[in-house]
Amino acid sequence: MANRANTANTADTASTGADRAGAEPRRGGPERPAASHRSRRERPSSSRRRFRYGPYLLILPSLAVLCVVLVWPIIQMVWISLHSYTLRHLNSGSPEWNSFAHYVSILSDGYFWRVFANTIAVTAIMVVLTMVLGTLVGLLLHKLPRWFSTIVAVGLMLAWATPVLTASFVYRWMFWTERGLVNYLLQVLPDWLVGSGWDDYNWFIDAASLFTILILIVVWQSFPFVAVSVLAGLKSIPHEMYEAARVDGAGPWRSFWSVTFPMLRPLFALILILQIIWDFRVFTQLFVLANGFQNRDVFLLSYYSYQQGFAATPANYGMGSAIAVIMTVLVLVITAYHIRMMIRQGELR
Amino acid sequence: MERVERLMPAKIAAVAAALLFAAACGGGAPEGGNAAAGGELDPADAPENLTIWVMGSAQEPLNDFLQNEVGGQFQETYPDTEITVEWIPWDGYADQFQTALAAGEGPDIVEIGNDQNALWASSGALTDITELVGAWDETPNLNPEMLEYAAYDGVQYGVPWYGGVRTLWYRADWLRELGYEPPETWADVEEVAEAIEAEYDVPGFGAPSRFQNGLWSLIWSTGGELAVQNEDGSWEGQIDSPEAVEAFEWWASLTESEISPQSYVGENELIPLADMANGQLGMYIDGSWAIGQMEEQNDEFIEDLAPGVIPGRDGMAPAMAGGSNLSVWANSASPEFAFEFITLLNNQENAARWSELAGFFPAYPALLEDERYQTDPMLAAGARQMTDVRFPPNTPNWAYATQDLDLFHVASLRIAEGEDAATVLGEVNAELTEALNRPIE
Amino acid sequence: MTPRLMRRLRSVGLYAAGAAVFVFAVFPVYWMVATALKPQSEIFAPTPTLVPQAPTLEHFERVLSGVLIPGTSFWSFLTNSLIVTLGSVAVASVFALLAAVAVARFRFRLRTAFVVLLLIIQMVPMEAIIISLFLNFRQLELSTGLELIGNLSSVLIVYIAVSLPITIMFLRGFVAAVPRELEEAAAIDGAGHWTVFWRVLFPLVAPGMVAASIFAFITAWNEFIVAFVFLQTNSESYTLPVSLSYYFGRTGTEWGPIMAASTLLTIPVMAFFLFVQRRMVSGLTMGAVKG
Repeated sequence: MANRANTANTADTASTGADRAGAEPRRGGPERPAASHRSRRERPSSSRRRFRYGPYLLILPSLAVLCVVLVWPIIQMVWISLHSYTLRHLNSGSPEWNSFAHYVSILSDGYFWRVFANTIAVTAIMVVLTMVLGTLVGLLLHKLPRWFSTIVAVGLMLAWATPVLTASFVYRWMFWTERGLVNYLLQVLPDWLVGSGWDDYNWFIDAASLFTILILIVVWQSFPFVAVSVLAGLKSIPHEMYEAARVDGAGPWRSFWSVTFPMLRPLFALILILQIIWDFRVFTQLFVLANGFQNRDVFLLSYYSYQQGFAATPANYGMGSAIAVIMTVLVLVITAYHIRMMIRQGELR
Repeated sequence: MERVERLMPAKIAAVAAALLFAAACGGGAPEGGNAAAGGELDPADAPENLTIWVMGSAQEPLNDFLQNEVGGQFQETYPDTEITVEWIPWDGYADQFQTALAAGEGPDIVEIGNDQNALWASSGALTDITELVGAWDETPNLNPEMLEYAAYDGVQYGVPWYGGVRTLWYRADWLRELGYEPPETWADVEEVAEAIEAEYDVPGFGAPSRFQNGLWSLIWSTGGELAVQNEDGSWEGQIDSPEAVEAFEWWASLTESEISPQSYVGENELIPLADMANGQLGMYIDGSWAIGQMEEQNDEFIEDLAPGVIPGRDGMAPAMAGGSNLSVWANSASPEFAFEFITLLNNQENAARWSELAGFFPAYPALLEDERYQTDPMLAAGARQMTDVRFPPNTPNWAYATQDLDLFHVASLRIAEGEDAATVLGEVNAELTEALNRPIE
Repeated sequence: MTPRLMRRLRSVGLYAAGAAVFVFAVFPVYWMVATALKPQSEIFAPTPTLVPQAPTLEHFERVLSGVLIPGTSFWSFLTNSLIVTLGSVAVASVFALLAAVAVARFRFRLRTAFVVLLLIIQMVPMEAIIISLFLNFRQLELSTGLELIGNLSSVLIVYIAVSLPITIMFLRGFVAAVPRELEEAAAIDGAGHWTVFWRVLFPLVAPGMVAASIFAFITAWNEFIVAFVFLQTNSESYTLPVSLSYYFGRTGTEWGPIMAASTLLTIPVMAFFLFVQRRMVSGLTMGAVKG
């Protein structure tokens, strides 16, 4: 991270040299009229001097908040993860350096790897399902007449806008063992189709069935965003391109892969990254579905970290932070490519 | 979810017997003996606010009692002090305690489950009140064993507030119609449950798998133990014994033979509690305090519910001696006034009122002499159950094994799902032994 | 099959698929409201009813009358939620606008570092840093005497920080789109920097600020875990989501009141969402990432 910032910074400094007046040339805009140059030169020098610090003053409030709330805790997180640090250390004695003991014990623990694998698998399923379903619905909305697609879009908004906590409660209730709607429907459906014994099936014990609900909640809440984004993207593709593809004899499948996908590739890349980040950190839904920290079969990384840091007795901040560090590294690795692309693509200009 | 699952140390087997004996010997102190420390405290120094954390869900009468009655009494002497009562759900209460502790916040007075005393004392959450307790004139009237169990490592951290045991809740009207007495053995439970199901078409007995200290009762009833401490202070789990295996197997068999609904697997007593309140269940085991919660949910059948003792293999099972202490939180800015409030809240008069309201048993043996504990059917079963109570191991790691690792539920769940009980308990017992011997920093 | 029939069938299929998507999206929300309106006996009935047979407001009354946590009420939770939501939106918008002007209008040494920082910080999951954030705030509280834990200020500042990166990136696009000539013309007329900012730039980016604030609003209104960690020691400071989780912890399976409380939490954000949905989409896809 520091490295990347440094290189970028050097490049920036170089370009700053070309424009020492302190103002940026307008991106892609017409040449600055000469008059503006003159007008700036005519400004009193005191104003210019004051302005050199201007940008720093402007970013100062944001930077201060970000440092206190995000930057410093991220550094702290790494430090804490390298120390024996529990609730007891808060009140008596200070945390002790423990030469990577947390990492050694986690990485050699079969349980941690199970949680790790579950996290990857659950996230992957969520992301893939969300992307596929969202894209299909986006295409569908594009095909439907305007009035009907508006109605469906409003429905999507409802799913999207529901607070995560509320959504989790509703799904817990729908899948609830007794009087839950899903078990009732499965019981009513013919046994040859869905099997029997649903009337008192408990969805919340086994990891597989609990994760099924978890995935369902997350997909339900995220696919509208993908669908609406894809729809917006589709509207920007000129109709002639599809015409051309059709003349070439392409069916819907081929025209999707030869026209739609290439055109929307940046959009898809972006949505994909956002989905990965969002789905990877899923916590609240699990908090409601698992209802506590006693069922260790259903932990995901974020949940495990929280459990160690707050629910374990005594709270083990060091261990919780070690898990959090691993989680953060994982997210940054997954998104590294994306971050690099954004930095390259003139995001920084 | 472990509502009144707390314990007292293991040395003495029968608190209630002690309670009754002590009651016979000790004369009750004069009522309202709460002012002992009061004379030394200057009301002008009293804090603006005292906060008390009480466990469980806020039931209106209980909150009213703490806030207005006892709070009002306190304000007679200390008119400038406001009393704040906060209710902490048993679910996830440890998060809240630890967050408060770390942040230097929290209440002044806190209710601590007696089996959690060692945990929170060793975590530095509680104030050493040895001297204050020693100076309080009601102290000699408290149950001595309960008092001792509110100490850890030779330091007094709490004052026993109340005791509680689980009982068997049953539909008295149905048993009457069917001509059964409340069952006291396992065989009777099965027979009565099947009769209820046949007649009323609702499950006869509720056996949730998350039934930690109920399972302890069953193990004790077969002559089993939970864990024993060796000479060198190390612990050894005992739940792989044939007795313990038998207890776990019986509990799981209730689900397997469909006496208890499959849907209770993975759940705690709150689910059968709701069904019982809604007239959808014949019997289940829960604390005496459950009646208040049932009434809140649905009071339609409340008159038909009655308590009996916990059925054991061959007769009444020993119950876990549950109960709570009142402690002074480590971060309290005015620990003397906090203790002053405790002496008021836990004087004999208020202790009796509280027990009556909440469905508990007071920590004063003299109060248990009261006639109503023999004659009131809602109390008599509990009073009888109180004559045979036991305690789980007294170590902070007991909370780790049963709360964090949830070992009893892990075992009970796996057996209910069809795994072999002896194999499961062999594995879980090894985990239990390891957990109990975890170093205490 | 004639081509015409095929077209018919195809369009019927599309409508059916659209209807299925609509039902899938809306049903859980409907079920929440329907359950909230059913009396306890109907919720507990062996055969669920699709439409409440005897609609009642009893669960809403119970939630609103606030017997849940003595000394507090639904209205105090609502007030807390509004304070942190509106407060964080307002502060984040102002801070972000200042930073966006800096990033879009000036070149300065740390500019690139700042933007890279924003990019990376967006990727770090809040759930990962909650432990160190908690300890950090604790330390801050001990050393400065500020009230943070158990106080709305902690949550407010976290929400500001969380919505800053995305808001800055978004507003930056708006600021960059304002023709520089306008500002320069104003400057020639003798206007100071502040006047230029306030009279020229601000009115032009104000719509962008509204759009950017949507994201901040929804994040703050719905946020649970940070509020839960920082506020749980003080029930007077609970926001609506924290109180809702508390309700759930207390009652477990009393679905009527839980669904009623959930409905109450959902209504404001849903109304807001429907109102601004178009901007939301463009905000996330264009503003947040493309700048």
